[in-house]
Amino acid sequence: MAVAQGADVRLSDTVPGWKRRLARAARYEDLSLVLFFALVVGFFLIFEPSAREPRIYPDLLRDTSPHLLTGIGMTLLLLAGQLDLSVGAMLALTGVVTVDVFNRTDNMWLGIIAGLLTGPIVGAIHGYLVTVQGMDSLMTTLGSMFTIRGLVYVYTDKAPITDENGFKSFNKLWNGDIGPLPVPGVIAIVLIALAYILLTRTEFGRNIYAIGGNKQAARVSGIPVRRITFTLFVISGTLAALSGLLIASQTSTGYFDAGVQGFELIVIASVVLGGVSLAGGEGRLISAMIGVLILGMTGKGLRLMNVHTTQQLVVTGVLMLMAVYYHRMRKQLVLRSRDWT
Amino acid sequence: MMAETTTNATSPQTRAELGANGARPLLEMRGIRKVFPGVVALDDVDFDLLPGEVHALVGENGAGKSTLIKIIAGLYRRDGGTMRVDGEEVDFRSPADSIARRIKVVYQELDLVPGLSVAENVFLGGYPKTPRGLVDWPALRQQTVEVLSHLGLNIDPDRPVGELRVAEQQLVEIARAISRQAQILIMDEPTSALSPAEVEFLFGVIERLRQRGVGIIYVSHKLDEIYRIADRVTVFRDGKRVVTKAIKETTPHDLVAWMVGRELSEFFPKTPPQIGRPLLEVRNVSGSGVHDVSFTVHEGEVVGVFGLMGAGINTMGRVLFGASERTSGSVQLDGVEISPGSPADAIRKGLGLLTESRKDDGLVLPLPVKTNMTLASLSRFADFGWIRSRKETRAASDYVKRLAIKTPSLRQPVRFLSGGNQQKVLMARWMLLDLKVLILCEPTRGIDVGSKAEIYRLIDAMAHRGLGILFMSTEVPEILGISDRILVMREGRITAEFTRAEATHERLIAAAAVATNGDHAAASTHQGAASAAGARG
Repeated sequence: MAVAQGADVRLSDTVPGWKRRLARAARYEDLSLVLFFALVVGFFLIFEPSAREPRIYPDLLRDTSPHLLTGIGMTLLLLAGQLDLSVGAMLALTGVVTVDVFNRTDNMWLGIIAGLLTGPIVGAIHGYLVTVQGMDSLMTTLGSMFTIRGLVYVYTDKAPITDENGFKSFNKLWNGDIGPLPVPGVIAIVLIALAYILLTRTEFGRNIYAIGGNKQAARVSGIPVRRITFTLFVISGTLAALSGLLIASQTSTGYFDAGVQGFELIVIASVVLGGVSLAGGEGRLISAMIGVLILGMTGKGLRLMNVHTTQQLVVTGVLMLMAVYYHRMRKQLVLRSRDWT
Repeated sequence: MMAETTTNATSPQTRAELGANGARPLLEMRGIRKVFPGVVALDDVDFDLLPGEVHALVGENGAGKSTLIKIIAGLYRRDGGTMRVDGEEVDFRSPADSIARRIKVVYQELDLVPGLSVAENVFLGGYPKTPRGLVDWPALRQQTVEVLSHLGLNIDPDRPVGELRVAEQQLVEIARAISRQAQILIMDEPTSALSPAEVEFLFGVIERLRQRGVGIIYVSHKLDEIYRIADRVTVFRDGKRVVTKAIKETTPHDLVAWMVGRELSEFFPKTPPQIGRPLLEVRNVSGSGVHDVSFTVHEGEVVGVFGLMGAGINTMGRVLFGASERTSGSVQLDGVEISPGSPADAIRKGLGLLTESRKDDGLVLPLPVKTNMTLASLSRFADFGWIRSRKETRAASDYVKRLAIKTPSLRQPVRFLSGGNQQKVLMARWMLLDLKVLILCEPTRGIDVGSKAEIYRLIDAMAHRGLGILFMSTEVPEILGISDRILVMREGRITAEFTRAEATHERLIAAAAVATNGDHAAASTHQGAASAAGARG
């Protein structure tokens, strides 16, 4: 280690060329994830004929849009060293509130606004408890996850609420298209672009990384740690509510069990698969979004192959373990290669 | 017995050192070397420890004492040299290896489990078991009581350790050492948090251990303590062993001279100060660990704050800046009151704080050099929150050049830089702001000599430009080298103030190290007087 700099013999001369090239490639995390995604798509293209139909790719975007949207919020929170487990329950809350307000007021916009408002409200509560009361975000959002789901059950008595007015344009939110792209996909792409700019070009985004990387250092540097963390919970809640709205519009129904099958965990797993660190401060939004697409494509491909849901679970699980292993190896390779590339 | 004779025969030198005692050393280290990136922490160091001896280890911070201890404890692996325990060559790969050789270290930060009882802590990791493999609670209790009574201690074995006073916790650590039949006990600044009566008790315990043949390595800054209990002393300086001698053959003045022994003038480029109006005015400030401090820092002035470890120098910096709680008093910067508890407010008004720990609350390790530099000043490179990337990069690369920071690029994660370069990144963070006063908490801790000199130069240059500098340090030479005025702290209070001309090494140490009260204080004043006399003679 100590001789690496300024010594006569360059360490790089002793390392085979292929290994050096591999190490250099390993630094491009985005690239390796795109390759991973291509690999998954390639697999299904070869083994499942119906995967070759072009129409399924806009569908993929449509299906994964709720994951992408909540994934944005989750990525921001994870980067700041926080977590939001309530996003799955939020899907149900927003859907139920939206459709219920439809039926009570016969006004679509009122319903949409009411549904969307659940997000910032719940997010603000999380933000308050975590930043002002100093509660742990994992337990706080776990608690509110149960509370919200429970409230939805109590309110709906476990019966789906259907849109009695049959608002057509609400239904278009999920099923409509803009050109070749599905409406929810367009919403997701626009918000990903905005979040990307926020993270890479603004002071706010930079401070998110600083807070997640070292909260104390951020505070001592005068960064408003609490205010930013609070805002992130509001953003996460709002994006979860937007996802809930999309899911409700799919069948024009407020469904009490929306997102009940571990939606929040799938979102967290996806963005971590995309290289976002659970410890905070490290990760990139685009990589995280590719992570969401990788898991989404795997699920979709397996469904096309008529693989039973229980077996799908095994494949998805193994894939996630592989991804975590891969990230670990990649990091080690990059670390070890510092002296010879 | 055979081995003993052989050892003595093969190394007459060692034998001469041992004197009449003639016992085989418990621990023998020869030519120990340890290198960290950019720093030689230990260079060809010899050390040994005899049974039933208290061997004091002294030296300034960064002299290599802790590195040596960590090698003995199995936390670091040596890069060269040999180490023998009980005459057998050893190579510790982990603390477990060291513990297996019956070595016990009592660190300043005690490693007890606060929620567990005294008994559980004493036998942690080796509970007595019933034949069925369950924990034998009655035996555990019984054996704990035995160990505690050996030490003359009367602590309820069922009490959670977290409820005990620090002194008692320390004794529990020692009890743990005895329960493992430790033959080598290493104590790192054991009295820094103790009252005089507790210190007396601890010394009694040490005496008992000595009589049982335990070898004790005693690390301390407090010379009066060393003269009370040590048999031999080893002085470290800059990673080298200066001398090992029987304590009786030394004077406090000798020890200090051996510890410092360096030409200081070239190291500290001190230009004559141009002192202007008062900038930082601190009035009766109290807070967590700081009691009623008042002083003023002027434009262009470097005020050094000296104190031993735990004296509260860094805490005071944090309280003034707002990183730690301030309960009363006022802090004014250029006539404007700084609100307590808000670093953001302090920075806005022109006060900066370089914290004592780069890793805990200094750097954001995974982030690049550039980002770490502009962390506190980012809004200066942003329009309405929008980062002007080019402007930021230009400023950062300018500082990389000016401070000669060695990094392959601005995008390099800061964790890969050496300690000295990391510290320069932090200096740049504060230099990028238009500050009026900068508080520096031990800015040269754990960095190499070259970087130290550069940091001193930067401090001098900043003062020259009219900044007020508050410089906290536990190292006397640098305090003497760069300060225009020196405050000394002890137990969270300012106990003395010296001008640059008045200050001497002995005076600072005396003001910082005198024990709190009672007869003990008299003893150490006497010691201080003795060393001062030595200095004159």
